[in-house]
Amino acid sequence: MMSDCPQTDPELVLAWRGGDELAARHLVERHALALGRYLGAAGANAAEVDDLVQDTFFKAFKGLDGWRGEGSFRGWLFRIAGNLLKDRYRQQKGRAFVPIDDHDIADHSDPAGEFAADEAERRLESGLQRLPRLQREVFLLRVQQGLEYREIATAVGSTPGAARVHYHHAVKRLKELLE
Amino acid sequence: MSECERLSEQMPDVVRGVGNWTAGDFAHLASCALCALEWRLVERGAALGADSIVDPSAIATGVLARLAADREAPRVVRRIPWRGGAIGLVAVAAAAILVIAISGHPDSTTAVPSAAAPIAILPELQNLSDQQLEVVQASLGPTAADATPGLVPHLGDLTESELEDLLRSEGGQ
Repeated sequence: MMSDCPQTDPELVLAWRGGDELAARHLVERHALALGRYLGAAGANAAEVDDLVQDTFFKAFKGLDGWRGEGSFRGWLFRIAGNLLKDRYRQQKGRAFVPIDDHDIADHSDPAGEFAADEAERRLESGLQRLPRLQREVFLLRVQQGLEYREIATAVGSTPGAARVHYHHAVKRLKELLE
Repeated sequence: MSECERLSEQMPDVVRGVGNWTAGDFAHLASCALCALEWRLVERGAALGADSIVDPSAIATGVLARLAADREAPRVVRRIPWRGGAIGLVAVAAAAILVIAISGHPDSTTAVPSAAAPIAILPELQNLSDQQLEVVQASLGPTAADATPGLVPHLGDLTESELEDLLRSEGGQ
């Protein structure tokens, strides 16, 4: 269920700080789906996406003092989610990520035609897992989540200019992998 | 900025419906294989995870429950019955150590020019007579401070009996 609350994120954060539990619920319902999509595409196992999303919000609400409203709340959530995923990845030594099989890589026969099939999505996912983590995250935040480079910079702890460079490197590498 | 770069910058916005392609853009996409490939890449990327099964309402309930449990946790600690006693014991012991250190110091009578310092350390001693104070000091027994003037003894150096004496002396007996 998506939240139809008209209040902005900063307004809801302020209300939550004042003890309004409903404000916290609105924030979760507004961003949980996007976080789930992002974490799933970034490599989290389907079985642990729920836990990671919940952990993200729990840490966010517990550490709201760390968010001073300079960047977007959404960008800050993605930053926490990315760090949690990174921690999980380290703990499991890569087992959290979708394994890549050789047949997942493009065969160069007909790039345009390949994209027309469902197979293309699987190949894109595989290609994403081959990217450096930062490039993968920036690509997803820009393309899947529609974040501006300013928000992406908040999410990955970088600058908007660096985020833009990472994005274009990611696109270039994905095109090479999928051509 | 080349036409390819301009379109590349716009793709994430257009795929989300924030912008639109012009007729000229469509013509470029039809004639440039790399831009066409990138456009399809962006379209697929935007659709990734669209079948996510995360239930935002359930997540919200879970998060709020965890936050409530987290807020409750410190209260449980405060309910531990011996915690208040332990804090009191530590406070009394700390005060007693200071008294021992001062009374055991060879220059304590000249180093403290007035009663201001003892008052600041343990105000209730101010109400005792000299005789009562001697009783209190005597009840503490010999300490490391007595043996080696100037050293502050540690509570861990005291026996159970000495600790009991300490507590009794702080009771004003």
